[in-house]
Amino acid sequence: MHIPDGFLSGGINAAGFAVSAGVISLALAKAKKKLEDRYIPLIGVTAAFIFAAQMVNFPVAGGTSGHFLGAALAAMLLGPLTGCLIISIVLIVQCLGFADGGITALGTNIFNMGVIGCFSGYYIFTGLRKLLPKNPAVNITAVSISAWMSVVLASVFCSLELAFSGITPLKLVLPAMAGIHAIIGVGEAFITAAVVSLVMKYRPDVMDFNRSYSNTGLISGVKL
Amino acid sequence: MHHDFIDKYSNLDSPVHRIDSRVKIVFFFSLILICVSTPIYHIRAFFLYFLILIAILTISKIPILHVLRKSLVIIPFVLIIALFIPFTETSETVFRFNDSPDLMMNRWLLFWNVLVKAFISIITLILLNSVTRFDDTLKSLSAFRFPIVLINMLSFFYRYIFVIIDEAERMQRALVSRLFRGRSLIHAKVIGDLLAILFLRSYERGERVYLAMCARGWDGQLLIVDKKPLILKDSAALIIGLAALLLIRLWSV
Repeated sequence: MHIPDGFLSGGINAAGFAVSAGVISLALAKAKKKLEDRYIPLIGVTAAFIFAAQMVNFPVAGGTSGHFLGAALAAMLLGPLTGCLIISIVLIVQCLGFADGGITALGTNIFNMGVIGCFSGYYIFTGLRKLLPKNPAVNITAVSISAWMSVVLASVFCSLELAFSGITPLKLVLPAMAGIHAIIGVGEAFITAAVVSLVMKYRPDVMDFNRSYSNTGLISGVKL
Repeated sequence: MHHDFIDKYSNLDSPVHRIDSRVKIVFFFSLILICVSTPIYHIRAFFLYFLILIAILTISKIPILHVLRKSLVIIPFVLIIALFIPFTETSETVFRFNDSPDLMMNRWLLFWNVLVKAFISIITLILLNSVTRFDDTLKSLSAFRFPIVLINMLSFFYRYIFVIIDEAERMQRALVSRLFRGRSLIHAKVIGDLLAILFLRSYERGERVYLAMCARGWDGQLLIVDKKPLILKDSAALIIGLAALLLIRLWSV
């Protein structure tokens, strides 16, 4: 889903940069308030985790393999804005360090995978949680559905941008992109569900939706 | 895990490596911007951009195989997206490419347009991180009003990515030594558990790092990047480089 340089029209790239820059500055301000000064090491190290997690390939049906995106996971664990920040850091490193995703398309890539991926994952999840009865099994189903949706929605936006740039008609690229990512999304859903259920078991306090921001986790107990 | 998996060969010594990293960032980013904005008919221009890259590659003594190998990881995905282009009718696309109307008429031309630009950009980015140390690249971003907080986060990312990947590799090795193959969807649970533990270890490491920093007297001050002025040689290199790019772009019209 990493769009390279040269594919998108200038207008879409500019819009992508504008939206992503806005969301990132909002996220930086929010993270500062929410996590005080420990947010810098925490976000840096957690972004490193998402990067490492993306290197784990998992088998998709028919011998192909996909890799983890982690946007929904980051959003569910640390909140949508912090998740956005984490995915942006991963994407910046992938662009500058590995040429994965173009520099002119960086804003658009951050929009697709960071903004859309994190926000859709998070809000679909919280919406489902409100609607459905509260028990652990249902919770995990909601996690899976929202992780799957976040990957598919990100790919839908990706194909919209390609179509609006005149690269390819929407009716061709949309089913192809959404189809491939509907399969990759199954892996994403399984893994996100497994990670969330284990984290809920051992460190429920780190989960974003389980805590109040003022007094959380390990550090607040130790801090003088 | 090798210390140079992001910026291999960036510690070589060559005239290109010695240039200030800010100059290199401006030059390589401009090269990508100018290349992307060049209309596809100007084949000479693309040829010259490529020639510039080859020249930099030769001067910097970076093995060409390294660049090719690194680009081969990305290019198949570019090809997959690009292959949509030639096999569609122009009338089917809803929106016009911003380049020019007759480009829309010729899908193969558009195909090459996209492919050539993507290829040159990918090689440019790989070259950038092969001639500049990654932490220098990050620090230099502050010269372009990139938020200093984000640079600090990226620096932490860069400092700990090696530790986290080592940790992940140790866990994977432990799985493999217990005959784990990971060939069906049932194993997603195992991989999910592995990632969950990895997340908890990373998160707790982030907390410990913060406490350790506090114990050493950190008062929440950010790492400040000192901005030293460019020396004459670097400014000259920048001016010559940008002039060359602009000349190619304007001359080829």
